[in-house]
Amino acid sequence: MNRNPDEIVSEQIESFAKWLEAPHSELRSGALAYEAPELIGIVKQLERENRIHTPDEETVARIRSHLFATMPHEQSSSPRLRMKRIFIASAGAASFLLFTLLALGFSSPAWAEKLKHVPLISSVFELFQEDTLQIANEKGLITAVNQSAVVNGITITVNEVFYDGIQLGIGYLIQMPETTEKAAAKEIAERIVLKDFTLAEPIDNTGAGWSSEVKQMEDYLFAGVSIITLNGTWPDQFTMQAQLYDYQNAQSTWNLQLPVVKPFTKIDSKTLTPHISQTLRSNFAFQVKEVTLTPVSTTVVLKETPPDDKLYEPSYTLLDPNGKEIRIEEESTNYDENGISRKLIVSFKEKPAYIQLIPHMSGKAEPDKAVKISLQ
Amino acid sequence: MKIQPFQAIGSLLLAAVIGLTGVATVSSGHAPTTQPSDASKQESLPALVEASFQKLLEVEPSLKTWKIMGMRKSPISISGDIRGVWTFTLHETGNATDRGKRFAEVQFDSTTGILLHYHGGPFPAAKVTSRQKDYYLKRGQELMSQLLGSENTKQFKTVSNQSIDTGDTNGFTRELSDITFKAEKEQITLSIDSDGRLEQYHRVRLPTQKK
Repeated sequence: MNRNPDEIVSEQIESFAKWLEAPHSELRSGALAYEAPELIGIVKQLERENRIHTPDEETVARIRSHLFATMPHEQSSSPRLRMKRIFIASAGAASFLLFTLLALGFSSPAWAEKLKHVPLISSVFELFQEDTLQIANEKGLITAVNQSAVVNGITITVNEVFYDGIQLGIGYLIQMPETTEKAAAKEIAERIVLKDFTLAEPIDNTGAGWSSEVKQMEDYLFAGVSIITLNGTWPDQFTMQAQLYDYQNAQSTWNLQLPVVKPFTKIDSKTLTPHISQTLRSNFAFQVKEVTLTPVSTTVVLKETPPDDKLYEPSYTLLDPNGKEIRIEEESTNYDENGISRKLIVSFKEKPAYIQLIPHMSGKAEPDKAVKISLQ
Repeated sequence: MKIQPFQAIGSLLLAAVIGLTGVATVSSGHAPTTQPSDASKQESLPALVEASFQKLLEVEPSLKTWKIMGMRKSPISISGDIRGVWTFTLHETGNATDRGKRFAEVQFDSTTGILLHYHGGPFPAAKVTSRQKDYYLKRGQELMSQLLGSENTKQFKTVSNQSIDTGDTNGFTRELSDITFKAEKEQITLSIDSDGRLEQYHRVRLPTQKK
């Protein structure tokens, strides 16, 4: 029986509301959010101690071209100046600190020790502790874009897109107007999330889940990422009509058209259908239904079959061939006419030949029921 | 137990086996998504579920006049628990295309009949009333006792969280309080409006640590 559109809308609203109410602990905390202010402090301290000022124009230009090559040139000078300060403090960390430290001759061992932990920042994606985005960035699979929208004096500029058919990430900057009170600016910026996206081309299956995270770079400058986990089959390239909005003020909506392209060929990705199934001690059964591989993401889809109506608490860990646990970036369960399916998404810098899946029931591992999944 | 007309209608509808679509998705990290499905089964409503539903109708009698849009059985709950659940969908008028009319969704464990989720309202409030925390806490305890029975309520002795917010819902301003009652392995969160009416109820398991 066809479902009433109102029912579907109601459920979607409810799902979205639940997501907004999700505890912050579920959002991946970004160590860099803490490191970046420290970095700024280090730079300022070095400046004070050694009277070294901002990098030369060439360095600044290099920093700018590196991180903000896609920034619109028609932007007013004010945000640019502010960004320049930010780039000096954070984005240009490596080059600037190298330059500074060479000049200083590592006069302070304490500073030198601290600086060992300062990351090289060359992308908004790098500011966030998302393996997928970081690996994609390292492998050069990021598409630079140049899209800005201004609403109520707030400029959102999307400058990076990652897409591999499984996940889609966008990196953006939020420049708040300096007329806003500082605390309010932070509050508003942190409320801006990806509301929805549609495709310019009609796509049959548009089911997707997404998350957004925003970090403060300076009083009025914020960086954000949104990662979308896609369901179904998506084209190699399309135009994403992204809507970012302030979820407490839906009138503030930024509409952006973003070109989305898979930056690799079809040969580089494949779908395997291993015939692996296992039954746990409780008679709860699972089957490895599908494994999808791209240069960045690996998706394992399980079909789960409970033996009866009782409560079951299955969970899984993934191990590499050396027995090291692999971090599951995204896990979701779905129920439809085919039953319960669970999707596990992981990212690899170097894909192992196989992974081991260890099932757990009610928190207790069943290693004797582990299965080996080939990734080749 | 007194049989409510509402129940009779429900049973009749059930007997006819309503073909409905079932949805339950949960996601960690990213937002949940919904996928259409059709998983209705020809199975009679367990007595424990019926009794539990009856308790909910006693808590919110206005639901008795609402129309059952469907009952469905599925192996996963709204919060993603793998367990047999029965879900009832109700609508104020029975015509889902009626704009501005409310819907409610109720979910029960199919084995034990316990109420897992309820989303009703928003119920019109006569005026914005500012209530104290104590009012909501007392009302929360009453509602818990009505829904779970006084013995089962004792397990949920810790109040881990309570908030009072005034917001705009469906065009009218109202005050709502969220209260979370915690037991050893589960927690129940209630949303109560300033008239003391239960708007939402969510019973979820606390995460189990992997060993």
